[in-house]
Amino acid sequence: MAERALPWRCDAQAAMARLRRLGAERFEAARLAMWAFTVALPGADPVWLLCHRRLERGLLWPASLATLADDDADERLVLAAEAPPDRQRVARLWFWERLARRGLWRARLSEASPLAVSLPLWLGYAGERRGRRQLLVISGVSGEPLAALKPAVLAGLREDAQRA
Amino acid sequence: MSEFTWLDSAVLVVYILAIAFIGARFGRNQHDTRDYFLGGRKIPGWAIGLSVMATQASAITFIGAPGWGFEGGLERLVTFINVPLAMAVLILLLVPVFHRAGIYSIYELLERRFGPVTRSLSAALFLIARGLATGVVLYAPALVLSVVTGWSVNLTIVVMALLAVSYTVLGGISAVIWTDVIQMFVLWLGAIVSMGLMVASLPGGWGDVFAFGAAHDMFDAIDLSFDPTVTYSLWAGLIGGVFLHIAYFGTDQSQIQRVLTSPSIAEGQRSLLIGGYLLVPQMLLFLFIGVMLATYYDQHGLTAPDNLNELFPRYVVSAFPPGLAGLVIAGVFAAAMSSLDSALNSLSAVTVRDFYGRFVRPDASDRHYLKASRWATVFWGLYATLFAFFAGNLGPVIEAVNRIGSWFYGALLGVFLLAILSHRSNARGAVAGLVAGMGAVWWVSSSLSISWLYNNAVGVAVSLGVGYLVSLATPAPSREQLADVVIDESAPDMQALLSRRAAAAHEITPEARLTRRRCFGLLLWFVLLVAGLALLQAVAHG
Repeated sequence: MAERALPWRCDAQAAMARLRRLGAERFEAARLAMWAFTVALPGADPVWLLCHRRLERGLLWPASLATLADDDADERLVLAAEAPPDRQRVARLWFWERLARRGLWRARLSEASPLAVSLPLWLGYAGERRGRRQLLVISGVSGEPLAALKPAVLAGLREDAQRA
Repeated sequence: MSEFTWLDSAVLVVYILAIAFIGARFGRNQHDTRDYFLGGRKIPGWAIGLSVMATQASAITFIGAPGWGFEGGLERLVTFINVPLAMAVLILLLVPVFHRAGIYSIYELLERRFGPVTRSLSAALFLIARGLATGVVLYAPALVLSVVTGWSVNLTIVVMALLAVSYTVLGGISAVIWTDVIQMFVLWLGAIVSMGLMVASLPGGWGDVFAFGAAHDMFDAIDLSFDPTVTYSLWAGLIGGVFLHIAYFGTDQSQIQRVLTSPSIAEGQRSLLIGGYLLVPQMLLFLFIGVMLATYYDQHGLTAPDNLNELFPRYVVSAFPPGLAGLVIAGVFAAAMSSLDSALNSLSAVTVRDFYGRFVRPDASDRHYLKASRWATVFWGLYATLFAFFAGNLGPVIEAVNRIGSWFYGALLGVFLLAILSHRSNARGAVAGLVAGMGAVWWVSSSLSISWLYNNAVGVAVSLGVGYLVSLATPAPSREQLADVVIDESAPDMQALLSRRAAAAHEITPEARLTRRRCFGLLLWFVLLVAGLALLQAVAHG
């Protein structure tokens, strides 16, 4: 089955402006491979909980997952997927998420197998002048900073460097 | 003067039903999840900020602040003048760490950093403190109900507790941002209308208010006394108050929960930013209403009620046109219910996640935990009800809530700061700091007659100092324990890797950082507020 992907909605110009405001000096596009678990809502289309072994919490994607275009994947730094996180752990994480946000209470994790999904990101590099590099991660969908993804991105960068 | 008419009662019932309907209709469908992550965001940041404000303090402010202003004029504004500074510290320091850690309860961070004992102790302190403060929050709408119906306040406390616990257990009015925004506007409308009515009823209008306020030093918001026993000096507000609000908004799960569940750091920061700008003007508005009420009572030869918390609700019921009084009282009810719902929910969530799920039934089913959380809600409802019976003796409700927090939160904030700022601190230091910080606050508040606003500063200073010194005498924490507070990319090999990637990446021209600019805005706002108050004070003294 072809890999699924979230769409790029934050273009390079917008990403550059956002990363500049956050203090980045250089930037590049990347895709982080994650696992999408289906979350079923009564009377509505399913939504997706995007998980990664190195993340403490999942990210919710409320729309459909398109198939990743081949040319898109070729252009970006691709941070490879690890094995999907343990299903029991995801189910428990989702329970706490529902308990914390009661608006989500009726949304339940379905039994379907997780799908491989590619999350678009912009990576910013700061700290050139201070001599201590800092990585900034913003969403390629909304442009919002996603610092919680840093452990997964750093692991992906390390793996990419070892492959190279 | 009119009383609470049938039209008011009808408006009250329709308003509450409408809010409940909107919550039920829009709170639990996909609109909520659509706003959760990444795309499709349609709710503006200002609405989210107002919603946070509605959950925090609206009913308490509406009831407590006019009584406060009636008694002491604007001098008590120094308690809140520090909020922009506190929000800047939260935005810069605590929110990024909490958000990056991906935690549901902030006390989890303390377990990862210091171990299970620190987490349990901190969560227990939160439960005790927030449970007591919820009693005050429960007392506020009960008092309004008592004023409206003429029933005894003890009876209305029980009625309100039953209502609040029932709908929280049944699912509550979901956190629908727009209903919170409506409530904020209704409360502000009530404030502005009451100002208009009071001015219209005074022969000299605004001139009477300013003359009365100036003659009784009610516009003296800035007291530069260095005497620590002066409760509302500017320094007590700055030194003590800033720690009070960092601790209140940063270490209380019921306050920080919405920031933790926001989809991004920026979103969480935005909601705090709105509070940073609007909480002080809102407090000024309601304190000023207190000054106007003092003028009104003086000119009309009226006697103020013994319990000053009743002052403003009584005025609304007696002076507002039929229908409008019902609307404003309904706004107070709905806002109080929103606060109660949020507080009971966070108390039960922490009970289940930080205690029951760890020590009693670690591997129970979701259904079991849900049942446990409902029983926990009932328990905390009872606990708050018991305390609510005594809340009337604590003076203005707004001060009571902050005083209760000040006994606990300073030491708690000290431990969080220790976790984030000192990579040398360890579990023994944290526990010692927490216990010593609490002990110091209790000793200071019972033995010295210094302003209660300093309690949090004492708690922070002692817990930080003792925690650090004890940590130095015991082994340093492991690298894993520092993972949530040390920047992930600090390892030398990762630095080299990031430098290689950066060299190959596209260049960005430099510009000021947005987050810092936001905080400069809050700093500027703080300076403007102090300058405005100083100017008012100078004008009042001719």
